Amino acid sequence: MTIAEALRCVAPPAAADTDDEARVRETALEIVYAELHRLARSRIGDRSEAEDVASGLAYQIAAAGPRDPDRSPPTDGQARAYLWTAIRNRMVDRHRVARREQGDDDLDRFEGAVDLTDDAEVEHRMALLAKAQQLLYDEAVPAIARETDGRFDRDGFLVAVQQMRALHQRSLTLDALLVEADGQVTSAGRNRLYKQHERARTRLLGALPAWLESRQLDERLDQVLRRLAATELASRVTRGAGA
Amino acid sequence: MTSEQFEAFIAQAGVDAGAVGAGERLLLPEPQVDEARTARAGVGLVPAGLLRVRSDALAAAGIAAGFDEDTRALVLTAPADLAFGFAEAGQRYTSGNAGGTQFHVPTDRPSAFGLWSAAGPLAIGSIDARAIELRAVYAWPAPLAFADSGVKGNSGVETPNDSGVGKARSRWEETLSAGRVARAIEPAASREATAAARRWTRGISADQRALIERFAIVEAHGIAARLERLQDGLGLDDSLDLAWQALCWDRDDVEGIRVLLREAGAGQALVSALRAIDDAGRAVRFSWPSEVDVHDDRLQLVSEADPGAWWGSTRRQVVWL
Repeated sequence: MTIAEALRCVAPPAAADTDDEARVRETALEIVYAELHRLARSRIGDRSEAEDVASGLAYQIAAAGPRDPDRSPPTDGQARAYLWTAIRNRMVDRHRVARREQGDDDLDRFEGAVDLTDDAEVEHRMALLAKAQQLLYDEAVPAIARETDGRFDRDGFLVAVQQMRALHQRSLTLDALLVEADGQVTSAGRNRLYKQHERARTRLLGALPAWLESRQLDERLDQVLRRLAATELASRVTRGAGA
Repeated sequence: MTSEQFEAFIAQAGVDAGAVGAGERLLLPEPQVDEARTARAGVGLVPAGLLRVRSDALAAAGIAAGFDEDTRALVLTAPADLAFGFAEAGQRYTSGNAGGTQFHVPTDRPSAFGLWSAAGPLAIGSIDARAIELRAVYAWPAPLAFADSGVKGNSGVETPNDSGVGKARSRWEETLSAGRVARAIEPAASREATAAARRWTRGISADQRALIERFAIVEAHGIAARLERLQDGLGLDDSLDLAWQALCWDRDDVEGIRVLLREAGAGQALVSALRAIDDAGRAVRFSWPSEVDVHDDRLQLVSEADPGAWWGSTRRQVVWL
């Protein structure tokens, strides 16, 4: 049974009408669980947390079935992306709950749709993207901040990158940023933010090629990281206007 | 409707008293304004020239009502895919006469009547000198009580309303609840209860499943109309988030019915009805304004259990199927 077939058949085995149907559901559930577990393990460092997420989701996904063919991913590639989205949706919520318990603001937001039309590459592309994000924000940005001399404001640079990323992910709005900083939304505040972000962007995109050169990454990962930096850190503040 | 008429109908339909919904009483039009007169017709299925009669009982069965002031007749209309039949009290009903789409019910004399589909009764009504009384009929057995699930699915469960007054749940609401239990949406439902809910629809007749499917299709049509209003930009105000949340919950409830029917090898007409609705739902969802945040525990569950569902949390990703 393929992953796509398993996703169509999966449903609570205990509710099956016949023994044969129960066996099909059990097999489907095992396949869905195994794939969820594999995906979760590849992205979640903590083994027990990965198992927890996979088993909880397998039960929930089974409880939503059986699925009709037109509402289920038709290929294995798309089925994997579907399962990964379920994991991601669960993980974001777990972190939200954890942050809420710590008293932080609830910042998670809708981050758009996943287009699964190019199914064969979906999982690979998602892994590349995750790797590129990790390299950019966990390694390249701190390294560029450390290695810059002179009057460069390291802390301001890191904050600006963080803000630009949050604006891209829509976990933060421009107005919220201005209100937090200034207590109000003004043209002057918008101009200041524009300059700060522009400085940080120029610094990052200027230093990134040298950092990439030193890392000698796989060509495709290199391209994805460059595109990621260009899109996620694109200007989202319009100078003065609209405030 | 007199108690004798009510008893006679129940006996004829072969249903228990719990299958009959709450009664609604609509005053017949008098020279003064009354509650049966709501708007000039041409609304929905109501033919032009009639007063539109708002009836929740008939709407649940997919039947629109209008009042012809000239002939003083109640005009009942349904689309072809929700055809129905009309039988006066005491008249023998046969499934062969359930293929109509419009019936005129005179209101100038007292009467009692039943509305039927080929699969069974849909509603009962009576007319007296001053008013029309209508009740939806959910002619299938109550879902199991889902013992030890913590979820009550049987008839007679009372849920307090805003004023603290208990209100009995209708058979339809119980069935929607069974669908939520079947999909583990009800937080108190155990795995045994989930399995029991899924087996329940296999134990009822094909006609009873067809009736459940009809009511679900009517719900689906209602969701489609609300989606259309949203797409047309109507209702885009401060309550957009609440409107969307209610829409998502209702779509999720219909999904529960789909699963219940699917477990019994039924529900193809419902699946077809949902196909077009889900296309519209996805269109709205993928152009959803990011500043309107619609999120709760139930919608989060939907986003995890079925990331392809457009009716999940707006904070979560949706897979484009």
